[in-house]
Amino acid sequence: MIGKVGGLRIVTIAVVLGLWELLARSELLYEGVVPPLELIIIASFRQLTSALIYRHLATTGLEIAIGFPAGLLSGVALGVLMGARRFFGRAVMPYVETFATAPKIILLPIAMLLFGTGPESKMALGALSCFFPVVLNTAAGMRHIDPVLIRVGRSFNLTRWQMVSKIYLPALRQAIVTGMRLGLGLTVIGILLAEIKLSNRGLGYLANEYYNNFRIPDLYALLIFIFVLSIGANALISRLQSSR
Amino acid sequence: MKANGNFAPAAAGLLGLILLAGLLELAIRFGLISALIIAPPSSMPAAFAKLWHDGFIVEPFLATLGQTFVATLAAALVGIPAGYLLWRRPLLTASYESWLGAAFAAPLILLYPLFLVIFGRGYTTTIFVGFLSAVIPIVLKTRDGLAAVPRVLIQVGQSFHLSRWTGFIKIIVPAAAPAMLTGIRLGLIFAVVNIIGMEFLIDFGGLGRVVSEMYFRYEIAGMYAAILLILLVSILFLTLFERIERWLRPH
Amino acid sequence: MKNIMNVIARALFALALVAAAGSAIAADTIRVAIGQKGLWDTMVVSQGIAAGFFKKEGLDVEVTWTRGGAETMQALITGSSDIDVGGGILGALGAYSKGAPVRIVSAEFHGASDLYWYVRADSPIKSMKDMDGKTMAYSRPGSSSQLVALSIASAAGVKPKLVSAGGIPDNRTQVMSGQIDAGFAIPPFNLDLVAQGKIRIIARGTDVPSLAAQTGRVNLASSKFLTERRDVARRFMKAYFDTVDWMYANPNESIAFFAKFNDVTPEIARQTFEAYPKNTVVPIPIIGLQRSLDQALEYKQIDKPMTVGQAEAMIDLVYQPVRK
Repeated sequence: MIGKVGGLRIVTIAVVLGLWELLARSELLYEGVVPPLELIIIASFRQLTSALIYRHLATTGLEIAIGFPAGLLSGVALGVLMGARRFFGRAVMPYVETFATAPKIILLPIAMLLFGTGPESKMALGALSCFFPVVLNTAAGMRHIDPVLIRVGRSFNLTRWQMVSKIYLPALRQAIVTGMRLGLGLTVIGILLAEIKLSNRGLGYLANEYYNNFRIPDLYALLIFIFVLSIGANALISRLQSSR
Repeated sequence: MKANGNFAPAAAGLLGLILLAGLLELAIRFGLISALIIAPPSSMPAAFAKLWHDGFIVEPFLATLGQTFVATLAAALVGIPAGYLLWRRPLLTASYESWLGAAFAAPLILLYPLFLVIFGRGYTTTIFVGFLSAVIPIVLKTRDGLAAVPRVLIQVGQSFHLSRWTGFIKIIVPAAAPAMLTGIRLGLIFAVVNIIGMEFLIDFGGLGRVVSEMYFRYEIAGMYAAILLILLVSILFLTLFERIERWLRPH
Repeated sequence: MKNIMNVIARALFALALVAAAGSAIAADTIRVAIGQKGLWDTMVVSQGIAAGFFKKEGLDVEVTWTRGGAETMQALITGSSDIDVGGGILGALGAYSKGAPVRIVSAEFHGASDLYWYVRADSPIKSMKDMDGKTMAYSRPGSSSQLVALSIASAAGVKPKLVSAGGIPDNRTQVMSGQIDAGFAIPPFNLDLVAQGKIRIIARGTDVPSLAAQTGRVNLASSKFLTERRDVARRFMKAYFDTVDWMYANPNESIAFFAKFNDVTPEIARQTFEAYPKNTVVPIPIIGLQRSLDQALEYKQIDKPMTVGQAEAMIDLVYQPVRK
């Protein structure tokens, strides 16, 4: 079965690439919108061997490095609170769920009004994007904690903080990691989109620059770079998830 | 409507919201927060009225709704047969399921400059982005739903000597229907989120464009009103679909 | 113990020397947001930095490029930048009318000599006269491209179908793929396509002479910046004025710089230069305010009519050269 699966995947990739090349060399689409593969490869190589992409990667990376933990911590905090105080949880849940389904990018103007048009607003967007899946997963996890554990904790007269650190958090590990995984994906997307909308640094900004200057092979190369990174990060976290 | 046990938390939640809005209003009135950054809640009714008067509510709402409908419909028309195909041919599932999962986690919406270039700046691009975000959950949920049908049910059908086709229609499809509906609901949500996001990004289309336009025109109250409107639309979608799902599943 | 004290004293003395020397050459930092990289008028600041005019005034200029006037203004309003170069006047009036703490410190571009509309080379449209009922693009509602398109169409006596098509690259794609008939651009953009014979120019902003008497883009500063660091603002504008004078007194150098800065051929750079006669970029005075106010009202940038007197309260020319 492995052999067939691997074989089919390779064939699929080959067919897709072949169709791409055909489309690129045909006159069907306006020239340049689907460039031949060699142009993309050359652009890729050029990008990866120059400092530019790494400088912008550093900016985006910093925004993620601050936004993601901020959203994670506040999400876990609210999720634990919602689970520990059931009445509060049920009162607040509809609003959390509603906000969760709204596209976060539309909140970018608020972030920019509060923090300016620089990296801080992107960090805020990242935190917002991460917050909701984490809250929902943590709150759900809290509801599924074995009541026995909670009674044990109470019977030992644990302080609130001790309840959180010794009972809640260990039991929530799985739920939090699931929330983390979803949250990271959404954080990356949120930050990149915010950079595209209004910024002067970062990978999203760079993609927009390439588009504005009609450097299409560079645009494709950069998008491939971003996709590889995000799929890689996702795979990394799922390794974490399964090893726990 | 709401069971009695739900009334107290719901009322408390609403009360809390009103309290927060009141605090915000006071903070702005006392100059702690600039009204140019956060619009006072008291300005919302007037802002909504202005949006309505300037045509920024009905038409954009219909535009966003229309795009979402088309995108989800297309995603269902493509996704359900694709999910069925994956279920019928395990080889395809083994080969492509993880790919689909990975593609779903990747920032697909980032590809939009490419679609802009290929399809131009119009509804085709926004609907296509909505389609892409909706189709993957539909495919995966359809396959999962079909695969999860208990063998027992299938065997019951076989014991009645039902033909393959009748067995499929009368037993498997109804059993898989809840999962498929969940897939469509997920697809709908992802479609509307991504479509509004696209509208915001490229300043085109319905409600998302309104937020962007209000921001760039420095009409802060109007911007907040538009954001609230989008939240209302989200609630509407969620509730509506929940109702439909419950009606289709009378147990 | 004495030795250690000696070392510390010497270190402190050295530090003091360095600090003193540093402050002597320390420049004032000023953050500038500029919309749309690649245009002739938006290049003034970069030219000025390269030619040393800002350094002469003791200024260290940090430039942020944005995609257009609306975005630069947001950078200004939220305090992310001190000065906004090339903000659209309609947007500026609109923001000011809603209480944004911004002031106009100078003009940046007058008239419409930069905008041009083009069609694909194989299009049957030969001039504006053929544009009746055809699609003609502008960027966003309320933009100068929309206003100029309307003026050009009415001057040519035709009624094209005006379409909001986004920025210059969006226009390019849609024209070349046949989705719209005529798109707009500003030099040097798309001049490469003209040179290759792939597109034809069918209309220019200069086709309507009356458009020349209106300031379309301005330089803005936040009122906070003008209050707290007025001298810095004054020195910045002085260097800006000097740069503009220099650019036109030394066209060969400024054209060469433009070509290098924007990665275009010298020929295209020269064509760009020709689209911007000096009178289009002189920073003062600000002209055509009444017309701008009328348009701002019509396109809902402002809610209530504003008089020229009220609008002039927004203008704060921090620097005015002594002209002979």
